[in-house]
Amino acid sequence: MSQQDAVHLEIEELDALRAEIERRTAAEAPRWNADPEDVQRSVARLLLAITEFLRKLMEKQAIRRMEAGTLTDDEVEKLGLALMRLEETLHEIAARFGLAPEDLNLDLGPLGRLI
Amino acid sequence: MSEPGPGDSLDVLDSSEISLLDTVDNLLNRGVVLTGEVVIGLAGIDLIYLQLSAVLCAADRILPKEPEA
Amino acid sequence: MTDVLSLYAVADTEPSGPLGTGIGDEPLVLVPVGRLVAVAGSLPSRPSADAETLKKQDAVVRRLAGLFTALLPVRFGESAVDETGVAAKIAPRESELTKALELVRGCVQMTLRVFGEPDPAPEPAPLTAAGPGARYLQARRQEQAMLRSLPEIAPLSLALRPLLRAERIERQEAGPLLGTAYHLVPREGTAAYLAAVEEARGRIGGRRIAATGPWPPYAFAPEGTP
Repeated sequence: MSQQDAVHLEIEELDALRAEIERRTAAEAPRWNADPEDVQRSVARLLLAITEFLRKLMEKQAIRRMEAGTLTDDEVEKLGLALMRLEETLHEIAARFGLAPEDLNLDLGPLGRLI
Repeated sequence: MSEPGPGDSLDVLDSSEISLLDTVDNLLNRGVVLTGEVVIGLAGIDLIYLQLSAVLCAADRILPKEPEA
Repeated sequence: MTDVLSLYAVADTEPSGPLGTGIGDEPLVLVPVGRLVAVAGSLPSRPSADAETLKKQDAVVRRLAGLFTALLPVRFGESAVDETGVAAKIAPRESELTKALELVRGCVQMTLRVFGEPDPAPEPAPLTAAGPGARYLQARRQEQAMLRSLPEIAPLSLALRPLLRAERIERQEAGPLLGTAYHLVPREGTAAYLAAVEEARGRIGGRRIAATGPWPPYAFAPEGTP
């Protein structure tokens, strides 16, 4: 058993790691800067991203309680419908501002990991 | 030098970039999170510092149970 | 400007020796919070996250891990204005922190990074719930479960299971890194763990793995929302 070849990485994998390290060490309190050229769209994006963040949090809690059995079938159905409609509405509004669902991923640093 | 054993692989990996990624990952992405924060700005100027401490909790762990109807 | 009380870790016992100093060579202190205790140090300002500082913090946390039977590292950059502020942040989390400390007692973290191609996406399981809302939640739950699995290393996972106290998996959505498995291993079990990794290395479809550790149990803090 040779420990010398314990890890052999392709060049591209090392580059990916380097980029990852740079990205993470650059982060302090994550910053959100509205684009002064298009403040309306920027602010809309921030508001939608915050709502999307809350939607994901609620979804996670709904699933947790569904799995734990602390919701009745009726509650599961109602919650599911509400979350489904919320997701559709958010994406519709985002589309009107020319925003894709991925644009609503707000990096809240440590808070973001709650999702 | 004697034949390296399984424990020695830690030394081989220690100085690699994977180990640095782990240090960064452990310290910035893991660990107990007590505060969430974001700075909101405009035109490169920080305007709002938003901080949440131990506020985001599951409702069913915190709120009293509703009485049966 | 004003000093901050930078937080390093949370424990639930007395230290077996002197705490030493933190990343700014400041003396470390214990802040009792209920049945828990936080390890903190007073710094002139919030520390910035550069590679050298992060390594220093890891070194401090490692040393602290040797002084307590169980220790949970706090995320880098957490701080409070004073001891009352520390208690205000920790007290609401006391019960989940206590459980997490019980889990990690006597254990270390090994981290497994998996590189290579994902398996083709499996057929999603049929959604059996009666109504569309419930089926929506079922589908979301299946997605969530996928993000916490690495079926690509199944032979390795099988070999490691008896050696682990706990496991947390994070799958990546894209990129050369397929995912990461954080493993909680009893302190004396790391040699057996690494031997099992070596043994299974060639049986995971050509994918590459890198094991690092032992680390203090960073990945076994209570999950974000309790």
